[in-house]
Amino acid sequence: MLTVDEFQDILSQLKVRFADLRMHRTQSTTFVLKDGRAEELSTGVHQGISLRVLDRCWGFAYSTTTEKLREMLAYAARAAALGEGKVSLAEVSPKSYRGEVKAKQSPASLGSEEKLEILMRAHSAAEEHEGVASVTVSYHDAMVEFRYCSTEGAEIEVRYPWVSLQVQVVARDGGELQHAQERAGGVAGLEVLGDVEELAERACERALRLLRAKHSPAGRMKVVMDPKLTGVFIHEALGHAAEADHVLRGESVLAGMLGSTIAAEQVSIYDDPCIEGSPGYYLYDAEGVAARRKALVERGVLRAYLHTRETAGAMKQEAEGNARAQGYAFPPLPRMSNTCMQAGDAELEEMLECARRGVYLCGSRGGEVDTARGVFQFSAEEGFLIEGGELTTPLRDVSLSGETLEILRRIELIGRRREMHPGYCGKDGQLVPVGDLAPALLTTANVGGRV
Amino acid sequence: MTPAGALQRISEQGFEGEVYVLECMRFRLEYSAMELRADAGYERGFGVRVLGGGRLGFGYSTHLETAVERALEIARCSAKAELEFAAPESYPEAKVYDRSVEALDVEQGRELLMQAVHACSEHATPTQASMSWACTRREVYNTSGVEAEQRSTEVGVHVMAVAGNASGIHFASARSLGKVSFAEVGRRAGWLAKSSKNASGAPERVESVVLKPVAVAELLEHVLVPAFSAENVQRGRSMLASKLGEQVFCENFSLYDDPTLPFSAGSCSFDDEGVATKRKALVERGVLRAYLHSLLTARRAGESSTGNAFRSSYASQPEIDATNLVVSGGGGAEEDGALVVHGLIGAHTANVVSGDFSLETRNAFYDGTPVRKAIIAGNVYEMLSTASFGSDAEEVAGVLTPSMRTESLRVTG
Repeated sequence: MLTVDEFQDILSQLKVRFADLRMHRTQSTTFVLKDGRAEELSTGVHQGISLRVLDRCWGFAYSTTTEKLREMLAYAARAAALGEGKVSLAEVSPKSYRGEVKAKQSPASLGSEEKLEILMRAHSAAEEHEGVASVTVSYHDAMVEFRYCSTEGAEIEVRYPWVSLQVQVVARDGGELQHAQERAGGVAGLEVLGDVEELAERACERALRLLRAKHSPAGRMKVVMDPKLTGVFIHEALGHAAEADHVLRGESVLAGMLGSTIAAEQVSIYDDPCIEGSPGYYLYDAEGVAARRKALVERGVLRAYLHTRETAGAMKQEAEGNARAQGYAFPPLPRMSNTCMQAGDAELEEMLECARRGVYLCGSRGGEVDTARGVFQFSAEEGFLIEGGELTTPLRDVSLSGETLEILRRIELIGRRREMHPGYCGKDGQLVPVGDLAPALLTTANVGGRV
Repeated sequence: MTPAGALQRISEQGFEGEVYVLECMRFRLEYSAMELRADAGYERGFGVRVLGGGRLGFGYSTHLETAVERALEIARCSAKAELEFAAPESYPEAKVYDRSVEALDVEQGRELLMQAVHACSEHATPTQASMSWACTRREVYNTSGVEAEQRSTEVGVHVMAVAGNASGIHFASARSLGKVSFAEVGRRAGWLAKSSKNASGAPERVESVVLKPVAVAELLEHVLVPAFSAENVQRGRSMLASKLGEQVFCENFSLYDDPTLPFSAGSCSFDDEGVATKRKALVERGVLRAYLHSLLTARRAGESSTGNAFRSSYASQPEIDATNLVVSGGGGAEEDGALVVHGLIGAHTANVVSGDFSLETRNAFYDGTPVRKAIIAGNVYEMLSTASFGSDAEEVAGVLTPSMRTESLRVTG
């Protein structure tokens, strides 16, 4: 790969307003244990370079080889001359940094057999449960080297680890099948996995509970979201709408609302890439801007959008380190890191009591949001009926939908304990790891079910 | 190191081997209110599988030598896998390469993209439009003598439009320029946005739902196709397990996996394990006819691979997937008295194992009037045991299907 000097050399030959280079090199190992069989073991190295030039618009080129990079760059530079010259970058002070995020327990400290041992422990814990038909345990570790430099003189080199593990369980009862999964992971070493047996057991218990679960009532009702679902909600519904590219393209319900009250007064939401060991942890973003914590919503008032240097420049705001890219083959976009909601002071019992009748929804199988309309939909992993202020019948295939702002305004109580959950966030074909740190909450929403 | 050199090195170590090479040039132009943006990229990488004493190892890298060494190293830890690499065979011709795609330059690309943008503007504001094209060379070699190579092209367009508080999305992808109508994609996105303005709430007690082709395609791909994967069948994760030959769906419904469609997004001559692809019936008049196999699942079942093992990149192992899906059906899909749904939000969140789903609709209409918000919930197996189909078949990104009418879904506002 290129040295920093060679980087600077390529950059200095370009006659453009601005250019920057990124290099990613990822060494990773992936083990998939399907029903206890270690058939899918893989290991390898990904590496590549990307170069971005700003002329009348952006031209972006990437390559796995240095020779082809020049050919791709020729194309990108030609395209970059076709724009209308609308891009202006927010000023930042170019940084120089060289460092490493250290793992407490480095994946490299274990051999493949010992890593497989960890997967087997999770598998065995799941397999013991009667009714479990199939168990998949996936493990991934990586060591990432990231380099960045720009024509403004920024020079950044960071090395960081990644470890994650996922347990997926399918449970069967006669012709009935249900599945559940649990995941742990972050920018850390093996210590981030915690108790993998407990993780596997949680997945099993949920899959088995879903076999007995009933379909949910549908309609508008009181909803208590567990911390995991709250995390998905603030990420999907609020976080995406706060991404400045959506705002600038007229695709966000939050456009023009900075300084306005958009949520109940007790609601404060932050984007925080500075939480060590978390899934969305980083020191510098994909434009070499130092990462920092920022309030999106403070006591119900919208305070900021998430920016790249381009979107910040367009809105005359500050770039605060939210430009992220999946790897060398992707240009940076405004993205979330860890989306965090400030804890409140309610206990779960209090929220159930206050709801009296409604549903308690847990986790999420994923979701989607139409940021323009401010409408979201996601499926909960499972739910429970709330009757007389208590949890009763287990529910399945429950979806939650509604208008983001209305749900934020209708938040009545916020829980006192928060949980961090890892996830992958997709946008424009790019996946980046993110974290959601949130408490449970009580609100009113539309529940989709089949009863 | 050449692929032949890699296979020799693998043989010398006492292993059988397979080398997968993916070389790809991708171009993308994006138009938005912000500014034009252009991407160009080149990627070449190797995925190597080695098999020795029944143990399988997979290594990948942008350098073939590294991929080989990684694969040999990891194979030592793996469990026994009943895999045998593909045997040489002759591959069917497939229309997958269009010279005019390879010849596209950035100015022509922009012109095509602007066709979509302008057609959209006649109805609504295009907020984001992109077009992409790619030229790919895929190669598979193995120690059994397979030497497969195929060049292919891809073109895609995606338009997002906004009108008032309503939005519309449409897209297309195929392997030739001629098969993608840029103006039509733009027009449809704009029309969907415009017609969805001033929407009202969901009507009470709707018994019938008509899913338009895009919505049918989304449900089939995300919820139904995984059940045909022989891996899911063998591991007890498919509702279709042990039902071959049975009437699982209604007679109105037939489903084919068809890699031979000229210039369709999923067309190819061989899969990523070097097995020839072919058209096959998955469901014929409601009767389950076949599962989709890779080499591994076929061997376990004592059958032949159906040529349905594909990789998402050189760094990924082959996984079972359909090529192009073709739905043929009858019975009609009258829109009278039905909620007409053009797209779904979050079809990937459905329960792929049980087939249950509960999804927000995108661009739904009732009696010609737009509906602001409607959730449809049901089960894909129940739905296909009574559904009927129109005669308006349309191909959307590798899925060719008509509209479908069903009475089995619950609609809520």
